[in-house]
Amino acid sequence: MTRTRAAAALVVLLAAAAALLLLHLLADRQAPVTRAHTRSIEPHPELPAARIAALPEARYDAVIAGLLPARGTAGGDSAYRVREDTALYAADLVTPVARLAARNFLGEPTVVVPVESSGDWVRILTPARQRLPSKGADTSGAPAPAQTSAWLHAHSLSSPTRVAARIIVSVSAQTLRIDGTGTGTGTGTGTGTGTGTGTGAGTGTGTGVGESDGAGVHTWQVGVGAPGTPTPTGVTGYLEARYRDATQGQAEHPVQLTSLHSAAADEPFGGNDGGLIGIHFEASSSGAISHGCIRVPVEALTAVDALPLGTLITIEE
Amino acid sequence: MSPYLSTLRSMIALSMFAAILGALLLVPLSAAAAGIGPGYQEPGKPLNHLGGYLTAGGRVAYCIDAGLPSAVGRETSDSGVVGSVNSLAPVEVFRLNTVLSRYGDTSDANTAAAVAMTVWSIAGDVAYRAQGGDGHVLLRAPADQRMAIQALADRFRAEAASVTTAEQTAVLSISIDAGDDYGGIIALDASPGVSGTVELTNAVFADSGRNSRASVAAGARLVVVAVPPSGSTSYRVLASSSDLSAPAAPVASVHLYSTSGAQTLVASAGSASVVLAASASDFRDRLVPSLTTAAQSSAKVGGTVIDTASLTDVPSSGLQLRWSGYLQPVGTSIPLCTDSRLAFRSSAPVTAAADGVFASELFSVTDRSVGTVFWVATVSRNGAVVAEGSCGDSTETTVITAPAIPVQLTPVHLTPVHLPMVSG
Repeated sequence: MTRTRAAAALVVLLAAAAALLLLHLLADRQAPVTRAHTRSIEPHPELPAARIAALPEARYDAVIAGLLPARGTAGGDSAYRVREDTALYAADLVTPVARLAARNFLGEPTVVVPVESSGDWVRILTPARQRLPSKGADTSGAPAPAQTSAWLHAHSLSSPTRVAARIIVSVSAQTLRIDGTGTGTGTGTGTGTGTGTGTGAGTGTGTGVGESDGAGVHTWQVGVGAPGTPTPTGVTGYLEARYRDATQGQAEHPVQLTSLHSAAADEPFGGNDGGLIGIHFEASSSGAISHGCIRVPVEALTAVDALPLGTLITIEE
Repeated sequence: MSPYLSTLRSMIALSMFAAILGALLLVPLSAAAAGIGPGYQEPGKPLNHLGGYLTAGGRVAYCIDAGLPSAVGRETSDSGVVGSVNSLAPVEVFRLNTVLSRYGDTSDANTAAAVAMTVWSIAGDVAYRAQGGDGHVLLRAPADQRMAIQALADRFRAEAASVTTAEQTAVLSISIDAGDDYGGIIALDASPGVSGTVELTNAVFADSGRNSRASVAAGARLVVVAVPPSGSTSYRVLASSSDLSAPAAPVASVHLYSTSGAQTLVASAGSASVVLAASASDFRDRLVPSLTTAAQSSAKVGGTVIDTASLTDVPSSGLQLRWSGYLQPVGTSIPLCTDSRLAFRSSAPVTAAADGVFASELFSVTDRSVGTVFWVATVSRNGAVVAEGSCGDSTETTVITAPAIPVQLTPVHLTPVHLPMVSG
């Protein structure tokens, strides 16, 4: 019995030694390596409707501290609607800061313009302010932003529309230019780096003070903000809505409301609508003469009026 | 056998086992002296060698410890392939193996000398320079070969310096056409030489109509067409690949030969193939056209009848709308929309290129269609039905009678309370 147990122990130990030897020998071999690069789909945060309704609406006349300043040039080639009233989030993608209504003050579908994407989220430009100019510079020394943005879950987007053109306003040159009114193709990538191309193929129609290069680029002389009430520069907004309003002397030519606000004064033209920057017809449409708005001749207004809502407008120095 | 003797025999067996195990695991697989390999020796000082050393296994190995005593003539153990040596960073180990794999196994003296110089500068440039650097070690080579060796070493070092990462990568991404949710592009961004099969879910490749493609190479940009799953209201296109193979390339390891108190030698650890997996998904749901319909509620014989469809999320590539009206049998409440009950059908499709409300043609009403008509609107794209109304919808019902029923539509005006005042 004792001899049998000793023999069994020896067999087990030798088997273990053989296995260890085999592992030792195989350790030098280079096995193929498999690595995975997988993107996961983040779950859509289902914020209760009551909580969304309780958030401040990111309207043209709102000031919402939780919104993100949006300075500089922004890119984007698509405009969307939102399916329903939707929460806007801070940069942490967790904190809801505002509500975007599915319909705007005209009762029309609200248009949103994504300028950045990250996973299932898109950062959109918003119509509201983040801070009033009268509050002065923030802790980093930055003045009140003329444009704001916030994050929105892509699940909320609907009705994509390609926006091929872009409005460029040069304050120093006092010009308004429309680039790329021709047909174009664009893509928004799923890796969070939206890309797109627009290829201008239009023909020039500018007359009088306007010029066209026949390649989808049109330029007009325009009026911009006076020194005391300057048009904000170094910023990109979008065409938010358009309407005729006899009380503003714009019964014939629709006002082109942008998402931009004055960065110099809370209400440079008085009232309490948010220091809104509009593009509108004015018989005198040259020089630094406005309260921040872009005053344009009828040809330019007609051209801008033909662009889809959501078209980006960049204001340069 | 006495218990004492039995226990003794067991202990002897265990001791033998321990000795065998120790021999296998605790000491190197082989221990033998390394010899001088290809290269040059300083006249009169054969251990001042510039070049490779021959291991017991016949490999050409190189010293990585400038300034330590030579390993020649000492017991050198084969420590196998290691990913870390002398606290070198992974990229430095990778650079070492790249040079060793490409040029190390050589019998050419100049090549071996240049590899040795390159290995020293990668493994410890400061120490190497402190020992005199290239100018010092090149004195071991014949004067008429030094320039050639230096040129080779410069080339090897440049190749090594160009190696920035050992990582092979492959990333798939999907884009959605900005104006057409049915369009998009699959992109494979990967290390050079990577290729494999890409499988699509809810989409096909535009040129082949298939959902799988083999030999998709790094840098590929392939147009895809989304194919919504039947009955879905939203979906995403997925792309995946599990067999993206990268060509065999040097690994971030070296074959190590250790000698106590003397120079450590390294040889090539060879190359390895890498298989990568990648997947991607749309960053948002793709939109399926949404259809709501409303038919004229009543009509009279001799007049006309019309159906309307409101479409949202229309792709810029357009959709086609058709309407069919089915006369319901008298005396039954079960909707019946079969060809045998067909009373009206669009003579041509109506194209929708953007969201909006679309109207059918005006259908003439005859006495053959008196009764209840159920309408079904069908939305198709490239011949495939993408949305369709259901038979029996209350809003898709027209009651056709002999007497005329005037229909008057009252326009709705939205008057905002306040229009924003711009800054003027």
